[in-house]
Amino acid sequence: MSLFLRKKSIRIVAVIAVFLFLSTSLPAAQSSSYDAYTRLVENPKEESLTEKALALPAWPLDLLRGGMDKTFYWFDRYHVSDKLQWVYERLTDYGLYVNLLNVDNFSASGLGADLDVVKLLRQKGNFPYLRLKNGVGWSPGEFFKAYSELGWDKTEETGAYGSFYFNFEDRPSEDFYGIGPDTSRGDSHNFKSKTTALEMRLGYSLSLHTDLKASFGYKTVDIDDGEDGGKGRMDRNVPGAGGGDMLIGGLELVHDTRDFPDDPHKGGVERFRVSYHEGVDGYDFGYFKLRGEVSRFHEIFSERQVLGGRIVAEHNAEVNHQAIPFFDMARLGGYGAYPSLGDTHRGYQQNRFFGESLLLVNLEYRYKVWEHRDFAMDAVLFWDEGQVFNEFSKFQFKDFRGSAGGGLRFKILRKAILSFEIARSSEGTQIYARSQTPF
Amino acid sequence: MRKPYLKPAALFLAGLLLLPAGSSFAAEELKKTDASVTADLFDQVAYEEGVQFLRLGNLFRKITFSKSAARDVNIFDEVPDSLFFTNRHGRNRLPAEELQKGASDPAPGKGRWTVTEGQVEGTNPGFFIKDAETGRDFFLGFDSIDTPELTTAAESISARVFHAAGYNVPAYHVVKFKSEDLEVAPSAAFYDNTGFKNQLTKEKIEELLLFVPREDDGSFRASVRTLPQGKDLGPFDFDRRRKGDPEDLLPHHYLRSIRGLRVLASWVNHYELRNGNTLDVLEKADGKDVVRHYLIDFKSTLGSASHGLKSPQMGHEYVFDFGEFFKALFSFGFWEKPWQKRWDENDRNPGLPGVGYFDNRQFNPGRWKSELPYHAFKNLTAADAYWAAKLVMSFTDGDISALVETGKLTDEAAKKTLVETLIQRRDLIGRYWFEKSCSLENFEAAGYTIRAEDWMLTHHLTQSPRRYRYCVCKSGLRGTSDKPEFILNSQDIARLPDSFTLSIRAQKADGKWGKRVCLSLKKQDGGLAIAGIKREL
Repeated sequence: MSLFLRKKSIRIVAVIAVFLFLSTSLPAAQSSSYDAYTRLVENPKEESLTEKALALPAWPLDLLRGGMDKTFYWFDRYHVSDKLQWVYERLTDYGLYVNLLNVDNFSASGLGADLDVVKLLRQKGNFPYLRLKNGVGWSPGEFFKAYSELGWDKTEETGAYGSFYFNFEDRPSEDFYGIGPDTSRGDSHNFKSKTTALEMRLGYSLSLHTDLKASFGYKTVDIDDGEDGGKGRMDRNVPGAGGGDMLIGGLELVHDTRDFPDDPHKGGVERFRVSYHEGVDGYDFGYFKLRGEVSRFHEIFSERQVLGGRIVAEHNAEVNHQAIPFFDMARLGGYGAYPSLGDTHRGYQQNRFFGESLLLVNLEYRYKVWEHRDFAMDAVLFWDEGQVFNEFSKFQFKDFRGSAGGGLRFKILRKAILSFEIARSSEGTQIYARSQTPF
Repeated sequence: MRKPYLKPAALFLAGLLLLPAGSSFAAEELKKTDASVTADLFDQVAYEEGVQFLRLGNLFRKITFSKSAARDVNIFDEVPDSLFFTNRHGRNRLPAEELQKGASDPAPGKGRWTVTEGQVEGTNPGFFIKDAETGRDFFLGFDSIDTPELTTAAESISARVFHAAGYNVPAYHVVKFKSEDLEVAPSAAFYDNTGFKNQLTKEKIEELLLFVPREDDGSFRASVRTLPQGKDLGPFDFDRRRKGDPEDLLPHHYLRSIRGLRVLASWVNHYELRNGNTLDVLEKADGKDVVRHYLIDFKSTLGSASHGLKSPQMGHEYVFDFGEFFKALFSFGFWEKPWQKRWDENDRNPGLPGVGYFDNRQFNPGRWKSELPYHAFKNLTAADAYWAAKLVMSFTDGDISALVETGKLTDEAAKKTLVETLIQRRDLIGRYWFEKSCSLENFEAAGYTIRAEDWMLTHHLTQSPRRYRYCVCKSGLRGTSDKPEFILNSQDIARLPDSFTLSIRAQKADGKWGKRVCLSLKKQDGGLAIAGIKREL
């Protein structure tokens, strides 16, 4: 029995052994597989000398990048941007607002600061209506400004407000090319102006969108040869070439329905102003200034495309054959937004045209080319068409001057903080770098 | 004429070239690298986009439309285990429990956690905590108040996806706790929104938690990340190597394990895949110091951005994408990008808050972009993408359901949508990249016959009949086949040298022939042996 069992066991073992042999060795003889995850590699373990050498042209710049990165690391490690923002907000809390001022480009940039004294003295809670503001702005070689304002604000949607306003501006170098549409760019003179103004302002908000404003004030302007020498003295026969003192009374109606004043997509602004200017202290000035401005903004196809347009008309009408000083005439040329004084005509230099009357059309097509979270960039294509003229009878369509161009505007939270624009006209190319939009 | 400056200049140049990459390894000398979003942005968007043309190798490849082959691959065109990557689910399928477990680090115990440090981004807080039970450090992150469960679920699911795929990822868990579970270490501090360091007090924590969604029972839901043990060496770079590490000799843009991240990231929409969201840790392995490379921070995956909803733009464009910028500029606003149309629908309301804009309506696996244009991702070849797509395809429908469960979403509709989207997206990725390469896998030589498995068929990614074309270079030996089986004539083989290359191509759905897979074959007794595999780039 035991022998039989032993033989049977041997037989079973032998069968299993043969089966195992066949199942493992035979297929191995016929098919081959592989360890797909073997660590056997054939590629070089590091870059070759040639590869390192081919990267050498970038090496000097890589060193610079290293320096830049270290700065960014430092900024991030010590939360510098948060700290700067905190400082800015604290200053704002105390009523100090710092802003960048540039006339036409960043080479003529300066800083401005406005101080809300009521906030500074922590009296906003006790005197919510009180307005007491001072401010300065300085752009080296371009202008200096200081102002002070005392008055009261409205705290409701409608209501009255008003203030006394004092302003001083020094512009050491401004260009003057003559009066009228046919002046030559080569006929350039340079003057400096110092303007001191004292004004009483009254306003009433009829609704959220509509304001009626009145003002009465005194202004004195000193004109002298500019600091940009070599351009010759201004013709003393030009009205106002010796400066002037005047009283001004004005009335203005503003209707503003823009959805977002810094980056409007819908609505517009209508602004009409009439003022009377009377020379004093022997200055023979007397004229009405009438100015109207209408702008409109529309989204087309999507909220990423906005068409904006503006029409500006100004007429200075002399009274009793009295003079209109050149420094208070309509000005055309340059980017347009304050502290520039001319109206927007980007293909021409700032203050390129002076005239008693002005007609201007600005058209802008703005479209979004990039956005990421709170940041965005718009491209803008624009066309400015305008002219100055002295008499209505001398208005001619052929005197219209056109310029066109484009640019990019970088925005944070829908506020333009950098705008690069280039414009072309018959008088050449102008390039602008600004921190605002013209309208 | 003698030029005395030439010799020193040549020596200097030679010295630069011959600088030892890592001749000696002093672990204690490895410096911690810095992480900075601003530096990442500057490097990739401004600097590298301009300077790439000064790297003449890159320039040459751009001019010749060629690509560089990955160098961390073995002779069978697979990525062997390394300090960046460990073959896991793609090699041997992990059971659902393992997938759900993720990294093996423990979750913090139930009890009191000591807050050691805080951080605030906008209104979103985060806390570093020490757990007494496990003795480990963790990071607590939260959902935005407007999108409860979105970010914490996304982190939990995506971290497990990357871990199962093979990357080093710390453990993530969705936990609930009450504010009374938190103690504050006396030294705890945090940088608040002012940028100044302040002491973190219990009251301050309560204040910060006001901006975190609170459950009905007063508890908070958080995603807790285990901090790896070992010395924190800061982030690694997706393009450059870490100097001083002898195991890290190749610039990372040569690594398939890094390049392939783009494909895996496209699956889970990991938009913020940038240097700052990685971590190098000095660890002990087999008694020696090694630098292990981790991926951390998965807040910006699926439909979640870091804090809140991801805009549909993310995944379509880099943070600043020159190509898209110029397209938008010169189309003058009249070309509406597909994601813009998507965004404008339904008043920019994505529907399910737990899902956000995570869908496949405009998903194109080949065009998906992360936040920054790293060379590693731009250098992705068809072979690299094929490898990564295989990893993606290794997740079955059941695996995906199991992974989504770990997000602990309470909204069943959101859960269902996520599962369906991930399944559909997986197949889109597989179909796209398998078509771009040659989807033959698991080669086997039986006698003079080479058999393979076509993963387009295995994964049911095509309905069209498949045809294959094969040839032995410079031999005249060629043929076609209707199935992935290539029978070579023994007489023809006899004429060939002992080692030869068989190249195979599959016909694509559009009738064109796809890229090659080349098999290095060696003659052996009575048949052939597979000695290597290489896929066309």
